[in-house]
Amino acid sequence: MERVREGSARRSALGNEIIVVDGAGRTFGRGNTSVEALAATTLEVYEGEFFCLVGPSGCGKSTLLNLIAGFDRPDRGRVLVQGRPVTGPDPRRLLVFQDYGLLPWRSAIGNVELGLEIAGIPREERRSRARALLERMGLSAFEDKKPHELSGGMRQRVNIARSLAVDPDILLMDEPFGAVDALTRMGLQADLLELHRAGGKTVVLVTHDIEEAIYLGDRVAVMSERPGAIRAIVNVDLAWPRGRTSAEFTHLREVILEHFRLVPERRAPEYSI
Amino acid sequence: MSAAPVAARGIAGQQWGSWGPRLGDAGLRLLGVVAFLSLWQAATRAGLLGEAFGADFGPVRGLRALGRMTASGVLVEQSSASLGRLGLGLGIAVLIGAPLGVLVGYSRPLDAATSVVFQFLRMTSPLALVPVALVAFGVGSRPVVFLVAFAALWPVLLSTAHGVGRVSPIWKRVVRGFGGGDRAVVRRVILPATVPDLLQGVRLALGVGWVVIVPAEMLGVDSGLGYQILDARDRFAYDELVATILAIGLLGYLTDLALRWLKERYSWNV
Repeated sequence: MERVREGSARRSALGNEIIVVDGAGRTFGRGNTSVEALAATTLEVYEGEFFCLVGPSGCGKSTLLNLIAGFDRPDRGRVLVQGRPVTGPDPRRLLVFQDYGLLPWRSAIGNVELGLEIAGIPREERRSRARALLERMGLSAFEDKKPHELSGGMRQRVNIARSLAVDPDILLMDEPFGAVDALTRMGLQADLLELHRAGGKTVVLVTHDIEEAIYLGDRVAVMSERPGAIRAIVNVDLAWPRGRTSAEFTHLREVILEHFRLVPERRAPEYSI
Repeated sequence: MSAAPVAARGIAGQQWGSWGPRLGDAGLRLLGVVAFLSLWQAATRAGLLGEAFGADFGPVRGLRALGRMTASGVLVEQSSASLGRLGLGLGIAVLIGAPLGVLVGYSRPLDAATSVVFQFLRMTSPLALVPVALVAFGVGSRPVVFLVAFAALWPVLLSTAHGVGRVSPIWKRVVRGFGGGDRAVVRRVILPATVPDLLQGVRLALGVGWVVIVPAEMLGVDSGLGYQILDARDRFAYDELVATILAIGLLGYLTDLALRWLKERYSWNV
């Protein structure tokens, strides 16, 4: 595993470690049919950082995110958030689901209020906070619409608004823009970036889109195929706004693609001749 | 492919063009009712249904009797008796069927273990259980309520179980992610997600409930619309018999309408 780029300079530029994954791994099933989804993995995410995880489908990205979110436990190693072991889900570190997970019988504003209801916030305050967030997401005109009446991009905006409503310290995002078209995705990425820069929240975003990872991330972790493991962590020292076609951007893309070529299966044919 | 249905719709639209917009749905419904009553009236007048079925069996005298019975309070009294038993029976069916449906919907082993028995019981006519009900509950309202509850239980249970199957595990994870426990999951996901299916089950149960309650009230009770039919027959008051039949149909229609409205109110689409 190459981790040369992660240095003490980085550590001081960002805040303290907020997430520590310490040799955590996860195997599903038992005996012959068991599948090692995530090999023992170690990484740190710093406070206020935008951290991206890229890798091929089925590389254990989601498994790792679930461990941090507390929906799953590692079978070896440990996961610490804000210095404490993760024992279950917590609204201070929210998982933003891939397929939105909006409740279809609730309106957009009702969905945004969900977490606030569970937190026991009074009705008036819930309404006004939800309304403000929907306005920030450009969805004021749609607050009474049900999810099936909204486009994919709007649904994801409602989903993000719902997550921001409870003011979490950490947002864990699992392929959040995987189901929307390319232009909508770019719009959502720009919005997310703006929210991150304004709010100072820590974001861990899982994606298979290398461009998305470079556009958004302070650092990009490259994961190998199953069993998932961190192959490299790449610093993205580009200024904002990041042009997707700049020379540096293209160079980082090359660097990350190069790491994917290190995946053993890809080299196997050379030896089999 | 897509051109043909559009063209067909166009022709159909032209055919109905002169009727549809002028009358509207409500007008067409009323037209259907009037046509049905006219045919019925004509059939009884002309003696098409036999000598014995004279004008007393026609809707004109029936409706007149309906007005009389409403004014005298008889109909309200008997309808309340029937509606009370029906409501009680449906209530019991929901209290037993909804939680059981949730359990069956969640547990595959329980579903497998109970499916044959439930389907068997569902297909058993409650009227076949009349002697059993009379032995178990004696004479009076209780066996009637039991028969309604028995008939209503299965649609409620099976429909609720189906509704539970529509609950996405993601929704539960969302609620847990916000720090919600089991109670929050039940209150904010399982209940709102299954209510439309539960109400659909109650709607079906209401239908079989009306089918069961009338004959059930012909046995050993002295109130209710079923009793009223036998009573009218015994007094040769055939117009009152027709009026009671009209009342049953009307009440069935209105109660179904109310449930349908309730179901629409809580229904949701993915």
